Amino acid sequence: MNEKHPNELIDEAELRAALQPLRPDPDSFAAGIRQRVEEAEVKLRDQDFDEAKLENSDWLQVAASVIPLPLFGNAGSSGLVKLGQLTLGKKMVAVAALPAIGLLLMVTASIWAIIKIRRVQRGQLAGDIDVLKAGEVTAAWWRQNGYLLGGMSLLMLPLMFTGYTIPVFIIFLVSGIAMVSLITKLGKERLVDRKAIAKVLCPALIILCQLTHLSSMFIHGNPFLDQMLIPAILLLGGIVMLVVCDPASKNVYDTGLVGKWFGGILLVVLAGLFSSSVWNPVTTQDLKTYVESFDHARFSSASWREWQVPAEWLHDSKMQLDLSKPRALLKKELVLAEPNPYILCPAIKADLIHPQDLDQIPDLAVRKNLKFSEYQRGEPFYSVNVHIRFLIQALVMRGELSESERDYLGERLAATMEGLKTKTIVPILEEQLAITQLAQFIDRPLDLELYRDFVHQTLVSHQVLIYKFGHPRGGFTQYTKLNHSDHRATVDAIELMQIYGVPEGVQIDALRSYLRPKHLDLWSRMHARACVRVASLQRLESLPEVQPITWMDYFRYEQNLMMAILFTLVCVFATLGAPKLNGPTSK
Amino acid sequence: MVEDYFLDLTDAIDRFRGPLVGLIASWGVSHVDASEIAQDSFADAYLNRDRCRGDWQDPEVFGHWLRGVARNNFRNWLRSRKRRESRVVLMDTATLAQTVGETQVEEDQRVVELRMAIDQLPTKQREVIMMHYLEETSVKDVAALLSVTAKTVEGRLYQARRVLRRMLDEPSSSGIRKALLL
Repeated sequence: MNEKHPNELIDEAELRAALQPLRPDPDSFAAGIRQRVEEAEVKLRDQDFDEAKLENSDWLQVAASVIPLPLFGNAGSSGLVKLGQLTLGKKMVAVAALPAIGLLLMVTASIWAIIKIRRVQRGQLAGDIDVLKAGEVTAAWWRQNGYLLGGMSLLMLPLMFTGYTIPVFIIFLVSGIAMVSLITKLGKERLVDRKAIAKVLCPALIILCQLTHLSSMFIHGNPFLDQMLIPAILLLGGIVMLVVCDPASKNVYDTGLVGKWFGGILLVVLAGLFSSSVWNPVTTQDLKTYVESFDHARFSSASWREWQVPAEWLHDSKMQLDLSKPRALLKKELVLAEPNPYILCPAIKADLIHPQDLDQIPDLAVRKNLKFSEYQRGEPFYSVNVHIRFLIQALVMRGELSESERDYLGERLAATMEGLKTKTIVPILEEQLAITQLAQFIDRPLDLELYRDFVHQTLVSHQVLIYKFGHPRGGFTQYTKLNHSDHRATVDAIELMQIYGVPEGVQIDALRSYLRPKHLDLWSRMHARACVRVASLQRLESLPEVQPITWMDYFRYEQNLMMAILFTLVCVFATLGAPKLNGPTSK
Repeated sequence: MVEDYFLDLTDAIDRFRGPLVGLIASWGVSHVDASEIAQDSFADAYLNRDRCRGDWQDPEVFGHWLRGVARNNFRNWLRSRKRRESRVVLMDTATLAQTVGETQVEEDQRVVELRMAIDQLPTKQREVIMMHYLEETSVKDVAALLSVTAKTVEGRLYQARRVLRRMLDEPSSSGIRKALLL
């Protein structure tokens, strides 16, 4: 502090003396805070218990499954609204005021549309159609309603990109109403023709396909299916519309034969691509093929780390594997002067390395002395990095670790786990998993009960549930500050849940959604990543605490997909149900 | 600045106890109530640390968070002042009289005048004086709690000490006003 003119300033000792009697007693102050914290935690536990009782209520679960969660806004649409977070009064209001409103909206709107369209179709007389008049009526309808439709679409578009699902829902609803309105208008003029309707609905379906294709990239919710199925279904509807147009006739409604074939093939290819997660999913057999055919590590250790996940899962599942190709690849690494531990560690985890393979590794004893002799018993490792993991695993496999050395390492690993509680800037999920597995490997397993709460807290705090633009949610992150999911951390988290159990705070539906199949899984460049996801999902589903997905879960999270199916079906009905009239009477 | 991070709640209390009580007291709250509000604030800030933007173990982040919580608790305290005052009067009369009597005997006139002068300082100067000298907290921790730089705190302390010196050298009310103007 500036003490240039001490005579102008009040003496610090005087200030201290004046304020000294006002000082709080440190011990009673800290005790007061701890008492408050404890009381609040007890209250919170009681509250959680009450919420758990409510969440286990069957009737409430049924009611929750049919409440239109998009109407709760962002959090609701993502399934983040825990029932317990709402007060009982709100729950009752929600259940009483909005019973199955999502389902009712979808089904009622579809039935209403079908009835209206059918009535118009029946009123259409057989005979010729005035093409020009039909065009004029359609144009007049657009002039009347186009601005409204365009305005609503523009309004919904930015909302869709913020991740809300309700705009997609509303767009389908509005499109359905517009379709019925146009067909009714044509019906009043006796101009309902199959080709005329197909001509209008085909581009409408393709525009909707483009909108939903974009919005599917920013979805907040917890869908279990690839959201690219929505544009795929709309495209299938578009293909039907295109087929309905008769290429042989030469009236103004029809495109040329070449254009139709070109357009048709394009739509089929796109629909096939978007829906590939359904007709060409990554199966267990694909995992096996990927693991067995691994003869080239394109990105060196990164490829090995990706390969390790399905390989380890298949090994844990007791599947018979022919690992001759990966072993041949590994041998190339083992003959090097300094094999890469980032390759050897995944290979050990996947049970690819035999003890005799490690005879070629030089200096293991020297490294052992270097790493082990400097530190006291019970002193934590600074980090259980890949080099330490490989050294310990290799020593165990070669039988060069005595019982006392195992005790020494077991104590240090336990101390390292304990030390993680106060560390903030470490890849904590990876470290927790590595320590737990290493302790098992040296036959000095950690006391799981002792660390269960710590691991569970870490898992809950490292699951990413906040939507961040362009980053999928639901997975795990190694660092809470990053706040976006990554595959490696998610793999580690699932393995930790396998060992320590699934904590209540982890949102399994969000995690399933993060691991859901994607249409890009088809492409070879994405195939390794897809295999990691599928293996992780299979491991997750195998956990005893994880309940299987029910139809109610699908209903809860796939409302947009169901809406797309219903809308497309109504479009197809409106087109195919319309009479096929004769050629034009006007030129 | 990893080495500055808290280890746990105890560490956070040790670091921010003095400045937080001083800060709340500088808002015109008696030191007994300031201590109570500070304890509530520590407990609330710790229990809701997940909602804190950033790493709560970073003193600057936690300091900012703690001050916000304390301000909210102080506002709540103001709203329920009537009820609180009646309770304090009913509960603490005898103890308070005894405590006040004991301290009054021991304290000299100069100390009493100094406290009165501190009460009359401008808010920002009063804050730093109370926060820094109540438990001799470091300027850095005071700055973390106020979300300002250490230099700013030092500047305010310097100004406050100069004003206090003038106030005490000229004990008349006109002298205090003059000192404040300077």
